[in-house]
Amino acid sequence: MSTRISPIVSHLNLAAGCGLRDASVTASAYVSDPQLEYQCVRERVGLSDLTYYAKVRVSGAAALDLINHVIITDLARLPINQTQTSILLSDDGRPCGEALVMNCGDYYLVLSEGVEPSVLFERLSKIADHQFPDAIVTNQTETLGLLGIDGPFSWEVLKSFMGIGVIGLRYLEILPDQALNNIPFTIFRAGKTGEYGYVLLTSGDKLVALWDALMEIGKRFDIQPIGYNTLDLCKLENRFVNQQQEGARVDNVLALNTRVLVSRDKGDYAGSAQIAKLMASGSPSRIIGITFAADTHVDKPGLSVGDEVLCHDEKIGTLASLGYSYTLKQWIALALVDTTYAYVGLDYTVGEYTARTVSAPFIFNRSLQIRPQEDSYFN
Amino acid sequence: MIPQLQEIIHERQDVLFKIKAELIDRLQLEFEPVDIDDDTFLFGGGLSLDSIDAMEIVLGVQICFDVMIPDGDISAMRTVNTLADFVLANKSA
Repeated sequence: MSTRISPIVSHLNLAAGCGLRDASVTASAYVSDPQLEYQCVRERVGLSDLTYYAKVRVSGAAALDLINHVIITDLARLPINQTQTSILLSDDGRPCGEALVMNCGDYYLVLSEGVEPSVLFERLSKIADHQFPDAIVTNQTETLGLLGIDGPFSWEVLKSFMGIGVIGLRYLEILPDQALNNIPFTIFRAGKTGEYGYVLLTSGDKLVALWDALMEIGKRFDIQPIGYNTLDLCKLENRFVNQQQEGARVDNVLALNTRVLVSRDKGDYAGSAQIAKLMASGSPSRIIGITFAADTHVDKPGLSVGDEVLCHDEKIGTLASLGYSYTLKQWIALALVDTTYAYVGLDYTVGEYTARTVSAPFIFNRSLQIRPQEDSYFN
Repeated sequence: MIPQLQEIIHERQDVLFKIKAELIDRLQLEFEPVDIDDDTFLFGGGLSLDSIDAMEIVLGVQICFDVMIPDGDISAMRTVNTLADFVLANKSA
């Protein structure tokens, strides 16, 4: 394993608030009060450094077959200039990474988190060598840079220099050949915060310049950088799969409530036999949302991932992810519980607390009330 | 499992199944009810429905359960489970 240091970390000379994510030293937070970063994403706009993502280009006649072999979904109907969200599968059908697959016309670009870039590249290369010799796999993790811009008014920051066309960009649609201060980038609408979200792809040597340019142009929108702790909390609140949390704690991908993603007709793929079996029998456990009473101590709840979930003293599961929702002003969690108990509206026990099962997502996003044709940050 | 818990679960399972069957039938989805997880998102990822489908969902819920989702109430239409929350809350109201 080789550890990388994000160019943004070096550029900002961040001495504290960094952590290792997918073998890359990245900012976990930029300010000491996590609520400030959180409010930035939920009320305005935040900029995030996604350097830690793996970026693997796959081209050649067997490119589609190779990627299809390692993801839960089917790329066959993915149009050019469109992205697909998916989950990477291990050979036994477990989730092993989050994936965004871009169809760039001549090639696919796999952007992934939750897996070390070198591990993903080596695995894809090995499978290509053995099963898909017509696929060419290139590791572009170092040569490409990735930034995320999220928030109810992220579209307005982009509109200020891209023009009104960005408002029409549909979910997961790719818009190539854009520029800010002569820094070229490709953009697609995505994100895992539940707010308006966009991912910007540029060359690795332009990443810092693009970061600075976005921070400058976003000043009047009160843009702030956000670290991966805030991104993780937003993922949890909106129930995006997090490979670092619940994804690492389930023993099969269907436990993540992913049945509609499973391709029925792409033939054999990694873990397909195990997944087919579970599709027929049902996953023995699955993830469900849990909230704790609002009076649960904010700073020291006495809760942790791995805690047992009990129903009348019988263990029915464990906590798989945990966070404090500043929107709900409550501790929230994901629990991996016996499927027969995984229904909403039930009270279980975790430690000394009552844990109520709730529907996904946990919160109602402000972006759902913002209409870019009518609204503005300055209204 | 204690009978009271079982009763709550059965009531919810019944509503969830009806919602899924109605969505499949009305929107011609290529799924069986068992293929749709309760927390499946209706729009964006998940079932990837659109605004036209949203009107069909409102109609389907009204016909199936005799409850009306108010115009613009998108909080009820996030996932299959939020639809079930809305139906159960308004059926007993």
